Amino acid sequence: MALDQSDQLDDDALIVLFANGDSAAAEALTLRLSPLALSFARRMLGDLAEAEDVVQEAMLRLWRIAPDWRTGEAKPATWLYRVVNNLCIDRIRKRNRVNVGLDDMAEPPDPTPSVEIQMIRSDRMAALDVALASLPDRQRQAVVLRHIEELSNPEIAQVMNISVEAVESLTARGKRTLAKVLTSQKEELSS
Amino acid sequence: MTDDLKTNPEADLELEGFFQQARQDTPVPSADLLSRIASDAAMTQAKFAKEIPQAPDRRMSWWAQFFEDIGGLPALGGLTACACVGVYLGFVNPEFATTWAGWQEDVEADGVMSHALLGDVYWIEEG
Repeated sequence: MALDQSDQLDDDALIVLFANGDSAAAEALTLRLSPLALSFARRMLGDLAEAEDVVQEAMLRLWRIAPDWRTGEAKPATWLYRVVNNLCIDRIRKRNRVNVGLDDMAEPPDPTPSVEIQMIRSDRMAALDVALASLPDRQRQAVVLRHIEELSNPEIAQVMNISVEAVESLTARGKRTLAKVLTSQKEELSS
Repeated sequence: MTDDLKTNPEADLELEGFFQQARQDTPVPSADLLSRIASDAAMTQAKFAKEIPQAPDRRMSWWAQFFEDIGGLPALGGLTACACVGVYLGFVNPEFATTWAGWQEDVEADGVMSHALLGDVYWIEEG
């Protein structure tokens, strides 16, 4: 298959072609899916290099599952978000364990600039990242998937393996907390 | 649950501004990441090729090919059964094989006669 023909094919068809040995299908799937996965992973982890490792691992899992892929069930993008989500949770948990182990040690100086400095630099995105990082993991996942990745609530429910009602609740609570954190940052700056 | 879902419209609007900016601020996969993914894909595909069993190179004789074309063993069974019935009928010459043909001729003859008679009857009535 020529790469320019891949636009007419959906992700399911490309996975089938990949499983049948079509290397152009791999390229088309990579160009289509890896930016979505990278965007989500970066928002979840707050670190681009780590997010790239997660995306590579997630795509590898997609390649491996290709021969057994069941077309017409979960959308490949939703499946990939789910894998990325699980890989990110694993990494966040590992980080937390390491942080607990280091509690006894002298605290190193915080390498990240304070919220005030970030806001002074008018870096709204950095402020959003800080605010997102302050959310509990599941609220952060739901908010990022709903409002940044623009997935529907049923799709988020599939990714997170929870009910649609739970997604709605997590998103609403996450947004409330985000609003509070961002408002307090604003007040700090204006004082 | 309903309390959970209550939001402040003003705060929502402000948050939406952040989200909108975040949606435009999507990272582009680096060339290094794309090449790592492509390399994984190529390695995985190479494994698929090894796993697919190769069909043995079979060269069939013309009669084996013909046998396969007519439907193989089930078709041969059907042909044998038909041949056996033919031989049986040929040797035994059962009565129904001859009387059945005779009976059909009788029926056709009756039909012809009936039509002829009916025509006469109508002619007599009209006349």
